[in-house]
Amino acid sequence: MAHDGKPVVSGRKFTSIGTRPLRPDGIDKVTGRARYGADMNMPGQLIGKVLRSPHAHALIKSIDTSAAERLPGVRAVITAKDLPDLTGGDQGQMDTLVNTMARERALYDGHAVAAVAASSASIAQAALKLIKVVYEVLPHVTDVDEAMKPGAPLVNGGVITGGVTPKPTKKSNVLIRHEFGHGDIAKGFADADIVVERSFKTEATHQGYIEPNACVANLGADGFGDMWVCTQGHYNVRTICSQLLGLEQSKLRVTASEIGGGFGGKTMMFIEPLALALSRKANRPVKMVMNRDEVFRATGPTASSSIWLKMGAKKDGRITAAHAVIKFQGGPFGGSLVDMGAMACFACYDLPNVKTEGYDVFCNRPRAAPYRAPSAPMVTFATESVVQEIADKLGIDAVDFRLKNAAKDGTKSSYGPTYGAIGLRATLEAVKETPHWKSPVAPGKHRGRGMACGFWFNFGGNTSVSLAINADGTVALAYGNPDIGGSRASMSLMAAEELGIPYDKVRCIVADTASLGFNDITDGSRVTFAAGLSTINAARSAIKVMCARAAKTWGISEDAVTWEKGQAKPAGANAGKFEPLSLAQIAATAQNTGGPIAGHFETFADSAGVSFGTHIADVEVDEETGKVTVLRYTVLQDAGKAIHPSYVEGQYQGGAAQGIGWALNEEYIYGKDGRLQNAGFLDYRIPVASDLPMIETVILEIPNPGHPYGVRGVGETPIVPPLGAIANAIAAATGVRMGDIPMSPPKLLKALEGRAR
Amino acid sequence: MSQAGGETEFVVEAATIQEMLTRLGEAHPALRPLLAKSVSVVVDGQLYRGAWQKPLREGAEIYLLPPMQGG
Repeated sequence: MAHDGKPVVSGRKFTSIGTRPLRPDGIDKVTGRARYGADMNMPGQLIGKVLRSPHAHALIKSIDTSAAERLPGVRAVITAKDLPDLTGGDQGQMDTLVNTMARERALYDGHAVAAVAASSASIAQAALKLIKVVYEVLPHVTDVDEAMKPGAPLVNGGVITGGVTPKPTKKSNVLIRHEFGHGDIAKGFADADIVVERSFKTEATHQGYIEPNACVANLGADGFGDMWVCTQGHYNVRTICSQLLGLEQSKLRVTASEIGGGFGGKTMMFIEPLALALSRKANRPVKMVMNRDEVFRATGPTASSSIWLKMGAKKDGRITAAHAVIKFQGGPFGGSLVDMGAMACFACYDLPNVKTEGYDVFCNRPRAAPYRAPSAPMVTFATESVVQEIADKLGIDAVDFRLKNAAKDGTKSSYGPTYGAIGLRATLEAVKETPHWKSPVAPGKHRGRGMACGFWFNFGGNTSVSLAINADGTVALAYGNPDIGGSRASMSLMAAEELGIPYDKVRCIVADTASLGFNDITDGSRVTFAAGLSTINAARSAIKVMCARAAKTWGISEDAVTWEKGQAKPAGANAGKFEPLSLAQIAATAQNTGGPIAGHFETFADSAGVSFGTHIADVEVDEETGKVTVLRYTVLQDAGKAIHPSYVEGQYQGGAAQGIGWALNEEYIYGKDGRLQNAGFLDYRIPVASDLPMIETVILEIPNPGHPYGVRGVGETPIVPPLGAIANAIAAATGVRMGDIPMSPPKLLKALEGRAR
Repeated sequence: MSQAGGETEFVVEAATIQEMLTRLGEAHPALRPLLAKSVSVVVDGQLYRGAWQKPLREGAEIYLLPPMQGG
């Protein structure tokens, strides 16, 4: 269902907002002119390569780099000794430092142990082979349940578990326990007429961005440095790299390249501090580009999980209690984001009695990175599977059962806070009106329909925007977030709307770290909300200046000038009779009325507003092979206000596509030796266009009162429901309820065979 | 919260989020590192991660949550 027309938010009729102009970076991207991370080259640059551990867990007894250093063309070799601990006791930074380059232990297959910069890639590669590392191989563990058992190998030496009273006396692999909830679950389950209890496991998946991590670093002898990085947050690159290398932030300028996908994976750093350290040692620019094997082995996949979930309901369909125990492994440092999973698990429902427990567990796997609504897809798979099973057992329609229990305005959420205005019920009610829901599943064998709801928090954060009025009446807009999903177009639309000028009069750029105040990472569905809010306010700031210039021209008070449709006008008859002055006219005379005109806005944007979505999936199961084909798929989600509807639809479709891949095929497969077995796109199967139907979208617009135009972030929620929706569709098609993700052909076939027996 | 001896509910008098965090830290010194660096605050259903000057109304519903990360 397309979004069209120019809807009204808070009584305002929009001119630019809600239209679908071409993106300003589109021509560059389709012609190959856009410069991605690996497209940057500097005079005299060296090529950096990384030597990685072949062991899942090992003590590093010694590293001999002398032979590599003697190889002609090699300009620098670094190990952990070249990256001293400058973290000042900051555990998060220390984890980043250790993950960037192993110190006493190699903690996973692919962990960096040394790096080389040489005059060519082939020399750098040859030098890696000359580095002699003596390992003492240690026992390893890669499964979350195994890692929690008594006697499991202690990863990274183990840890005393936090969040537990009394404090444990023995080390384990459990970093911390979290608990959320309210009410009395024992009473809730006692009141239930039906109770369903199931266990689930989900494998780690990679963000699957098409462009591998890449950067160029140049740190001179004078201590000034520049970096060109493919990242979701170049200010964050500056913060972390400057701290790890002992630089003042002002001496390190970071420019974000175009980015070929990130989805959370490029919120973290892997090669960037190494490139900078190599450059410092070699006194030359150093370029590093990961290959796909390295991306899989050494950059962040999601956590893998083990979940036990129990839910009870009355015969009338009211859920009386819900309880989940959620275990995430997120690599050897913790930080699996299980706390967010524990909060998101039951967030869609209005529950009188609810409890979630989350355990953050060490394993010998790469350090987990956020992936689009981090943690929510896994827990929602479990919740929506059990919700549907109860609805089926009670004989209640899937939508009606969810509507009966859906969170609404004033609901005390399962993680504590009381919701304000939210749009979950609106998406559920809209489901019934979709052509998809109104139509039966297309006839065929082993076909079924499923649905699921999903939640994401959304947030804003540090944001800085600058907007300059050019002498010819065009506008230069600078913001500080890498453009992943079309945000340059969205920022331009908001600036054009507020200023009252055409969209194509605005040129929007992603500024480097020396040009604007600090900007948080492009994550959390924050950019259209927070940078948009700042763009609107920067435009308002510029409008105030332009009104003052008009007042000066006319010789009247600034208060007597108003801004309408791109023009300064006298506010009323008492202000005097003057011909309106357009933005272009005011800009043309700016040098005579006070100099350049610009607007700025800096804020820590809060009030992002939570997000909900509902998905519908029709599938066909080949019972001979276990292959699942998605026949039809619809996404319904509240966008608050769709600035550029095509990009909102794109986010809905992209999230759904990634979720379908996670549901059906994508997984990290580890051998008994603790090594990753499928580090490449041939063996790690993401969906391609021919695997998917055209994903239908429905944009609901329930304005977020915290944004001038009502915007809510939309990027993350769409990946939350697909795992549950597909599982429910498979259950409807086959009668088999899958507990493991991915529901790949071998697993599904085994389950189907089990059903037959 | 194990740092607060297992307590999960606190009563403090404060006019802003910043003041609330300060008072909480004074009452439970073991919480200070957590409060100083890694906490999200939800006031009457609205998430705050940094706007610590936000005024608090009498009887406001406040939750302290872990830091948030997105993808």
